[in-house]
Amino acid sequence: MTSPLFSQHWHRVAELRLRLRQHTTLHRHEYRGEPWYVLYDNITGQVHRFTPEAYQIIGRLDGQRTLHEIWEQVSHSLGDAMPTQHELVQLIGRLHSANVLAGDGEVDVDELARRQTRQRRSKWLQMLRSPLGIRIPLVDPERFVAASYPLVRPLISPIGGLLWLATVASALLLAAIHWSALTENLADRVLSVGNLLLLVLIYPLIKVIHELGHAWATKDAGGEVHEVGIMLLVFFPVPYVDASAAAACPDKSRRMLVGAAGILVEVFLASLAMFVWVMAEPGILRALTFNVMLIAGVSTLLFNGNPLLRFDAYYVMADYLEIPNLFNRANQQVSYLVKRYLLGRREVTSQAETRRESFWLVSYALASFAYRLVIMVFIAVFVATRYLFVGIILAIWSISMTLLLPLIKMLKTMIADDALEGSRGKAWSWLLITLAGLALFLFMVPAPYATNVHGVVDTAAPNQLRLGASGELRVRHADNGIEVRRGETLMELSAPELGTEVALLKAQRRETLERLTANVGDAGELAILRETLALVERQLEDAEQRVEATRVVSPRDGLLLMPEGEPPLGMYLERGAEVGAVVRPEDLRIRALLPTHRAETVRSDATSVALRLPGSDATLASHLQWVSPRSTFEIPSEILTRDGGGQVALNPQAEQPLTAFRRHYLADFSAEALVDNASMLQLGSRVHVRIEHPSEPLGYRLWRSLRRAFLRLFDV
Amino acid sequence: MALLKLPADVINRPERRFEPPGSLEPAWQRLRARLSWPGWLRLLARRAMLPLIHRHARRVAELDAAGLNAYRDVLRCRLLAKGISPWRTAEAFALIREVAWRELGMAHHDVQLLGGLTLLAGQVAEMQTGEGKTLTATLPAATAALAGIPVHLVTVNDYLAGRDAESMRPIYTALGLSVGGIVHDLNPRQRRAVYAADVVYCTNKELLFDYLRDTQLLGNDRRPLMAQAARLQQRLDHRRLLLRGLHYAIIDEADSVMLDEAGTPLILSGPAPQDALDMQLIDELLALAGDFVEGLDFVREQAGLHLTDVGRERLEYQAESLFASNNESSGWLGRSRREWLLQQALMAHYHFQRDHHYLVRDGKVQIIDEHTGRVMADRSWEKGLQQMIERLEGCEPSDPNVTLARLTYQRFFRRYHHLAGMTGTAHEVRHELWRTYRLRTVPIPPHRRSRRRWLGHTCVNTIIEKWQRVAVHARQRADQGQPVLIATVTLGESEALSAELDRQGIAHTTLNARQDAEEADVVSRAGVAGAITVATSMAGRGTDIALDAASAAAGGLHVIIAGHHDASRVDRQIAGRCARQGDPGSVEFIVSVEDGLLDEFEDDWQPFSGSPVARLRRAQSRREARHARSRARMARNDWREDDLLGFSGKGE
Repeated sequence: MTSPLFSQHWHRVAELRLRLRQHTTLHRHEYRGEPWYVLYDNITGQVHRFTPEAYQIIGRLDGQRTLHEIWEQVSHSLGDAMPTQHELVQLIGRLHSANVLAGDGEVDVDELARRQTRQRRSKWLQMLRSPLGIRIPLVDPERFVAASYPLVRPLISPIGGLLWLATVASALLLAAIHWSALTENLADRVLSVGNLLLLVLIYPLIKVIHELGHAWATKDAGGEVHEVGIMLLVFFPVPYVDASAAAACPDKSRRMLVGAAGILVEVFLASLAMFVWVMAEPGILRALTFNVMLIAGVSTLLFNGNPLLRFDAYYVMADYLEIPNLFNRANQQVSYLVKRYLLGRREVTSQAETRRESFWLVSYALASFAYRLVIMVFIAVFVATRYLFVGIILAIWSISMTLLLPLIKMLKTMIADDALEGSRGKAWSWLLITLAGLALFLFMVPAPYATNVHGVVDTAAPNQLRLGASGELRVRHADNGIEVRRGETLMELSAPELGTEVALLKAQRRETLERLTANVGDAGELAILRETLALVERQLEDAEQRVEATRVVSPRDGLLLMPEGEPPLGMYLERGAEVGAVVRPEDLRIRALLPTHRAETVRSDATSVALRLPGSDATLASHLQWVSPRSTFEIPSEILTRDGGGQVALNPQAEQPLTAFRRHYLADFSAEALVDNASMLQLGSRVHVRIEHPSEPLGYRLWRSLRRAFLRLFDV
Repeated sequence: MALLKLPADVINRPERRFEPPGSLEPAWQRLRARLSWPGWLRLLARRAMLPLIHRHARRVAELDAAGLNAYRDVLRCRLLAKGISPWRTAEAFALIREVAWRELGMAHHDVQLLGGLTLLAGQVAEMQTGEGKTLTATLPAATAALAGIPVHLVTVNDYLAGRDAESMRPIYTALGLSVGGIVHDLNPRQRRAVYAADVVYCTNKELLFDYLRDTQLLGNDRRPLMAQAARLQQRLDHRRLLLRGLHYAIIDEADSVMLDEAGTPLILSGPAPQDALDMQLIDELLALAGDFVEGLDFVREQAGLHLTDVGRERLEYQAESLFASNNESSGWLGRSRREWLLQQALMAHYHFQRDHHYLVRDGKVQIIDEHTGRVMADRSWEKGLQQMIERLEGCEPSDPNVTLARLTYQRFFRRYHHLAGMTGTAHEVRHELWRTYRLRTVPIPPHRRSRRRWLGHTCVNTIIEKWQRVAVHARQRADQGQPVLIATVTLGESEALSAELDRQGIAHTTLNARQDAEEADVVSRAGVAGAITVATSMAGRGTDIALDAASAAAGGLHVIIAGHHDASRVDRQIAGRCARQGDPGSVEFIVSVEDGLLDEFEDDWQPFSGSPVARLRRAQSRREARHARSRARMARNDWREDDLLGFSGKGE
């Protein structure tokens, strides 16, 4: 539908003689190859962008011509591109609300007052809407920036650029060289209390320099900076400058420089800090420079350097793409696409001139929405876990403002907006179809469901093989993992001192017997000698047993398993050492720890269990044997802990070793398949256990884990 | 809303200022509309006043003429000095009742007193038709006027304004109050004199136009102080101003005036500059539009015509060739201009239909109000559309107009400091009345029990069959001696029915809504035994159909509603024509499944579900909701555009 040529309200405006205020200037810019005119308000620093057609009108606002005359003239001069009266009224309305119009004393005073109160209110509302990003303007830094600008002026030049590049490049090189020293034990170093204090002290300083960078660059682009303040970003004060004046600069690269200045300055700082860090001795200076690098380098690139958030990189990108106001227009473009193609409305206009621009806008809108959602949930959870009560309220607030408010707005639009009149049915059906589709996917379409845990190979009836004598391993008859029979010799130890001992003891016995015969008449002596003989015989018996024990035999039929591996020949083994175990395959099992929330599911809802050895792709069938009736903190093997490469976190404060941080249930799985197939089955080795459950739609699972997460987070 | 006494002259024009609604306000008002005291509770409080009024009335009744005058003067002084209070209201009501009895021979009934109290409280009194709303209105009007507050009594048409002013004049005169009626023919000087009266009877249109004329004169000096300054600077001729501000208005047929007619804003227009119209351009446009094919060059969508891409190209091509032939024709210049113009031409060609949207009468094209089926004599389409249609109909093109000011009833009536309304049918729209005008609705019980008999629906299959059935039913009733009133939805239908009756040789009278004395005359004679009258819903509103003895004996007036109207309250209002004030009477509906109301179910899945009558009812409520939505939308857009146009400094 063409917008009506004539406006019903034309009579109210036709006779007005309006002019632009003195404090505005117009600049010609080029965006994506199209000329645009940018109106800059010197007082407020606001910038408005207009098409050449609008410029035809704005240029004629001289206080002499009436709007009607202007419209007639513009209609003639523009021909096909003539504006409708409605468009002209809207343009004038826009100029008016931007406070750049002066009339001939015909401005409605009531309306002015109303506008002012509304602006004030909207500022407050803005604060309420985003409690995690409140702006507090402080001072007008214009004089300082103007005074200091000549000092930094030489740096904003190609030579400055080269200098920057050289510094950053060499710092990067240094960083690469010292990479391990830099990143070693990063988390501990960063989050230690002393360091956090340093961070808090340095952070504002660096950010001030960052903002000064923007300010100087703005000055260089010909703008002025009139507002500096503090933004409470998740309650953490961060300085900001209002560099919107730079948008009036027609040179795209300069505008980009203004946006990028902060990051450039910080990266430069980080580079300098790198040099100092390399040269400094360990101590406070080194710690300081390390933190500067951390903030100015890493955090800046993560936050300011991310174009999906509305920080520096966003503006740089918008300038680069020559799509000013990217964020809003991206969202409008999405709504345009929805209205035009889903609802089939004809009267909506696209934000994009070309398909390419449209593509940019839409992809930006989607990406930034997803990213903001993630960040928001992350921040909300973070805040909520730190400051429990206030945190939860704030988290709920910010979530409702970013998620619920748009939802409510959408609902309101769906129910009551005039713009949907005529295609409300379509809109509702699309919405319902989407929701139904989503619900169907979440709650009807079954998805594979499984519990994955680590398990350890264990035996129910342990039959350890301990050595009865010390000695060097001479012969090994059996290898790890093979079947042995009872009484079969497994290995032989060489213990030459045992033979000597036996011979010695035998000689002593003979001597005692001889003396017994010699002293046959002496009753007292006889009694002593008899006792000596008994002692020596016992010792001999023991020594002979030990000699016997140098030949290690299997105590039973079963599988010889050596958890520590096969001992090499010639190794000296202590008496009593455990060299392995002989187990019967039916005694083997796989013991795993189940998280408490999965225990019940595993117990009652396991369809199949699959085992997989680390490093192998083949899976083996198994089945559940037992789940412990109560949960426990004990961990059966070190291999299941985080330290041992497993999944279970240890409780660092526990007095007993191998105490888990959270409660777990013990579960045993059969290891038969493993015994049959595995060539290298080892007691105490890791097995991945996958317990398959009946397929279940994702929605229920999401709901359960969400509930659990909340319960755990807030300890309710 | 308290009834305030404010200065009242053409310069100090008090009027309420109200702010645009905030973002939450509509929702809040929506809720508040439902949260109100029930009407019977409000009435209960007012009934408590009745004994007081009657006590005063007994005292006043004993006074002779001179005593009454003295009493009146004392009361007036007290009202002027101290304002209106419940106590003094009771005295004033008693006095007015006595005066009405002495002058007109009519004393107000209790229910009328209740109605008067409701009106004085700034609410809508829902009184059945025939309960004497005109007389009721004298109570609050005279009370306020005695207290020095100018009162506007707003009715729907000139005839009623004049008639009511004249019929109630004796009461006001006896009370020492001046009264006047604004009718269309008055010149500005006369109008000024009438508006200076204490009580003014006027129509909504005249009132709003006069108000707009005043704002034109005042320009930006709308605040009293600025107006005074302008007068001192001799920029403003205060002697040309008409109204004395917006103090207290009592609106008769409140639902019709405040809601039905509020669908379109009132536009004050003046003659356009000479060169505004290019007849050659119009002819070319119409010729081109005549060649366009529906479905190919343009499509009908959402009650409008839209050019397709093919149509656009064709227009482009055509415009270029025309542009080449006469290089000066600027009308074809500008894509949006020519597309818009062509759209207008297409509308003239294909959308607007003679006798449905407009009439051709005495060589002039006159617009028919879609709501009422009534000819709107003073209105014309804007921006060349009128001229296009005149050209198509072969009439002499009229002079084009330009808009000078524009105002909706929603905005206008809310500018009154005190507003009250009365109607027979407000229950259905009470929430909307609150949302739009902040008016509560109080149902006033009838004076006598109603003896109206509802005879239900007769449903036939085709329109033609419907007229035949109506004719049969009408003849039966007329033969029994009952007078019959047949209400049709549109003018065209009443003509079709009239033709059918003629064909069957049934004598009848047809009322085309001309809203004049003759019409009222016909309506008042519709109560004669055996008379058959065909009328649209609006015709003769406000005039009683008095029954003669024979017809009352035969069962009273029989109303045939030939087709549901746009709103169920209109049906109810028509039904209210019969069985007034305890008379006998009966109502029946005769509908067909081809009725226009069922268009409401276009592209809908439920057009054929349910019985025809249930379907019609559903269609009707759907249409009511749609109209209510569109009114709300208009009000919203009004604010939005007002906001946008803040720089203009003009409110209208």
